[in-house]
Order: sequence, then C-alpha cells, then structure tokens
Amino acid sequence: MQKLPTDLIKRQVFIFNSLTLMLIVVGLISAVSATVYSLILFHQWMLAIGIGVFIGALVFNLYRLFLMTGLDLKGSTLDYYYTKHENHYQEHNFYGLPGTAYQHSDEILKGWAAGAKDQLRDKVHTNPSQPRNMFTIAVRVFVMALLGVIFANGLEILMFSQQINVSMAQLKDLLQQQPNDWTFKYILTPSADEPFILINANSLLLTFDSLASGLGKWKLIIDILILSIYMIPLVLIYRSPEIRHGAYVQELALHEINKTTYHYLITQKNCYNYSLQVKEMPLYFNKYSHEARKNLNTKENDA
Amino acid sequence: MTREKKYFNVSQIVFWALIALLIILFIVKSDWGLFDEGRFARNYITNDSINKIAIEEETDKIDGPDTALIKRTWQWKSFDGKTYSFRFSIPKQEYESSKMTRLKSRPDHSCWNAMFEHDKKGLKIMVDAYKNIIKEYQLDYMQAMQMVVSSAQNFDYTYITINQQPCRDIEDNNGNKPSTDCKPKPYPHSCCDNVAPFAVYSPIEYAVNGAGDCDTKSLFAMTILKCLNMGFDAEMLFGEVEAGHHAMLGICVPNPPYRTLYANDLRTGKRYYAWECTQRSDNAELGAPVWRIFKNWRVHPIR
Repeated sequence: MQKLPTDLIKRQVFIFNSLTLMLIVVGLISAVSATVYSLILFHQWMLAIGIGVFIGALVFNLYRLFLMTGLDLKGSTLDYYYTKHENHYQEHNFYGLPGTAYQHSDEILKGWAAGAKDQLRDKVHTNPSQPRNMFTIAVRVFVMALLGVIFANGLEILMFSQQINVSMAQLKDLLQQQPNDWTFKYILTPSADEPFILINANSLLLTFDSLASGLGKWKLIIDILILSIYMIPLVLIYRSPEIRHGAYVQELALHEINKTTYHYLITQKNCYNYSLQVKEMPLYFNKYSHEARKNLNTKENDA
Repeated sequence: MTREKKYFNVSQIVFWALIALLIILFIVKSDWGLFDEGRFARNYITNDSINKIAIEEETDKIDGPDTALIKRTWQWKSFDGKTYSFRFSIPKQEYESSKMTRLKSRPDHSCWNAMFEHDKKGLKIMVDAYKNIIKEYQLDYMQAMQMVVSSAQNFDYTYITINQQPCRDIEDNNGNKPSTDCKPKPYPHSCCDNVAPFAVYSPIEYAVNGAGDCDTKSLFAMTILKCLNMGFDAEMLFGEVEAGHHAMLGICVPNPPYRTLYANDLRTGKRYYAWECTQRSDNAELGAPVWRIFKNWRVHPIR
C-alpha cells in the first residue's frame, strides 16, 4: 500500500488491527467458556485448560476464515480483471509482443507490470450496494450465532458459579430427605477421586437448568449481550464500506494481478528465447538413422 | 467524520462497550440481585414427576358448634382410575361471607380475584382434605393436579346465568331446556338463575352446592391448587370456542400430557396449558384438544 496516501494506510492498518483484536477477544471468551464446560465434565484443571485453549484457537481461526473469505471485490471495476487476469494483459497489449520486447531485462518487465497496475488502480470504482450471496451469509451468521449462544452459557456459569452452588446446596438439602434419590447420589455427590471444581454438580444439564431458573429473564438479556459481541465483527465485514471494498482489499487484488502480469511477461520472454534456441538447433533424425543412411547411399549410387 | 468511517467507529465503540459491560457484570453480579437462588430447588421439587410431594402436618383447626358448619362428602374417580373421597366442612359464616363478596364484586373478570382472595381461608379444611389424599396415596406433582381437577370435573354441568340471559331462554341444539332448580344433574342439566354480578359462583359456593359452569369449576380448581401451596402454577384462562365465550383452568408446566390448547401470559412470558373442567372423561386432560375453535384466549392472573 506504499502508493496510497499516508492517512489511508494508517486507517486501514488501524481497522484490521482492531478486527484482529476483536477476534482475539472472541477467541478468549470461547476459550474461557470451553474451560468452564470442561471443568464441570472432567474435574481436572490441566485437561480443562488444554481443551479451552484448543477450542479458543479453533474458534479464532474459524472466525478468521469467515471474515477473510467475506472480503471480496464483487461489484467493483477490479472484479473484471481479478477474476480473469487475461483481461488485464489484453488491455495493456501484453499479448503477442514482438521479439524485441523480450530483449529487455527482467527489471524492465517488472516496471511494465507495475505501470499497468498503477493505471488499473486509477480506474477502480466500487459499488457499495452490490448484493451478496445470501446463502453464504446465512450459513456464517448461523454458525457464529450458534457458537455465541453456546459459549454465552459457559460465561454465565462462570459469572454466577457461586449462586449456582447455593442453588445446588439447597436442592441437595431437599433431596437428602428422600431415600435413594438418584440425583442426590450420582449428580450432587462427588466421587472420592474427582472432587467438584467450580460447580458442585456432575451434570452440565442440571447446571444449565439452575442457571436458567435462577436468572429468569435476565438470561436472555445476557445471552443477547454476548451474542452481539460475537456478531459485530461479522456485521462489520458485511456492512462497512471501509473493509469490504476498502483500500487494503483493493491493494491485495492489485498486488496479485501485478504478480501474475510480471510472471506472465517473464514466461513469455523465456518462451521466446527458448523458441529461438530451438530454431537455431540443427535437426538430427536419430530414430531411423540406419534407414535414412541406406536411402542416402542408394540415392548417391543412383546419382 | 464521513459516513463510511462512522460505521466502523460506532461498531467498534459498541463492541468495546459491551465488553466493558460484561466485565462490570462479572465484578458486581452478586450486588444486583439478578440471580434467585431459591427458585431452582422449588421448581425442581415441584416439577419432578417421579418423586412424591412431601406434606407438612398442619395443626390449625376450625372451632365452633356443629350447626355453624356445612358438612359435605365428595367421592369421585380420577384420571388414574382410582376413586377418592373425603369429608369436609365449611363454616356457615364463611359461606355467607363468600356469597356477599361475590355479590359486591365488579361485573367483570376481576370478580374472580376478589372471590379467590376471600375464599382462601374458608376452604382450609377442604384443602387439608386434599393434602391428606396426596399424602395417603403418595401422589406426585401431575397425579396431585389430576386428582384436584377431576374432583372439580366430577359434578354435572350447571348453567349459570344473569338477568340478561335467564334460564328460560336457554335451549340446546336438540331443543332441550335445562331444569331451573339449580342442582347438578345429567343432561339436559340444570340452570341457576340470576347469579350476579358475573354469572359465576365463588369457590366456597361451588364446594357447598356443586353447581357450576366453566368459570365456576375452573375458579374452584385453581383456588384449591393455589391454596395447596405445593408450587402449582395455575391461573384462569378465558376466550372463545365454538360454543361461545368460555373459561378454562390454565396450568404452567414443562411437560403437559397434551400441548394443543394454551395461552401465553404476555407479562411473564409463561405458557399456560388449558384444562377443560366441565368435561369428565379421559380426553379432558391438561392441554387436550377438546375444542375445534380456540381463539382470542388470554391469561387472567389471580395474584
């Protein structure tokens, strides 16, 4: 992006750094939430942290994939050249160059490619209202929303773990009065080798029940809050003109076009040189050499 | 700030504000009273369909000469095929007072609230009799509800009218008219004239006389369920069916036998499944599709 104005470069760097930070935060939330789930299931810190880190990294990369594949140039003038680079070669008369053109050094050919890129940059126009593929949008939104809701539950369990444990203690007291109650025996009583960590229960479902019952309508509000945190980066990619058809995306596309143009010219140059070498080479028929010599001798005798 | 830049900046501010709110929630959660620790244990015990309800012994008795008490014996068959019976008595003074409360209440659905509030005390002996049955037969949550509602369904339907539509004007599709002696009878039933102000008897009047239509029976069942103090979430429902304006008992449970007929309480977001109290058959279970047309149904909370 060296040829762009300085303030535009700074703005684009700031935007993508911010997006990265948002992704890191989302990944951290997912890691913490997954750790909470693992603590309830496995009652071991190291295992839970390992699973949490793994899930967090997975969510981070999945979200990064969703965001980066959402950047495109559909509807802009660059789309015509980016989807088929040959249009760019044709427009700048790089097809069928005379042989003298390939006598220049690679550096000069690089300069031609760069010059063509600069001309292309000058005529870039974007269409902000270009419609997108609704199916891919729906899939991405659905997956991220699902992950958001799942990890929201984990965060809420962490937030209200003390209150949940008070609920569990009350339930345990009530169930203690009933003989051989299954829930009291297997869910609310820890085994000797696996004491409870964080939540005093062996069941995720019971924990969810307690959370939903205790929070009531507040659960929906907190869920929406965390879901919004998960959705904002995705919304930005789809709706912000600075990101979707921004200078960074355009420069990426132009850089790629420039690279292929340069390699195209180099390839043509090498092809031309090889064709010259091939034409200068004497021809030898080696496969049927004894027959050819026999015919040659016959003709000489006839002559 | 241009419109393009504003989009990203605002979204970023919203994102970090939500993160800050989440952190604040983490820190001060215990001081905001968002979590009700007691609700989960109460709901778990009352909604458990396997465990039996624990009954606490009560020693309150109503003193007074026999002539001051109206004594009745009820016997009926519940949905489980068992026959239940009990004897109860209601102070005559309570009966008269209940009647006065009805006559003085407003001619709209608020009269249900007034009659419920007044009759709670007078029905205590009857409520204790229900509790004894629950304890003796070790009924669980759903069985206890079925026992109470089937007792309300037991008496034959009686038309309850006010001056605008007297008994003499009532005629069914077959041309049969009910008798006007206001005593529960099989088809073509009986009719009670001029039951001011809203054509509904109070729960105590129904307990003593056994004469009631849809709202009388539903109000009685709801009153008993609430007075049992076992966590039954019961309210009154009213709306329209193919037979005209109608009232039914509404129960909020997570696992009703049927889920066809229900109304949502817009204030609490709870769903109350409708229970028909004027029919006496296995089909008249909670939420069962006893009506083809079921429209404009609302919850009238009795609180």
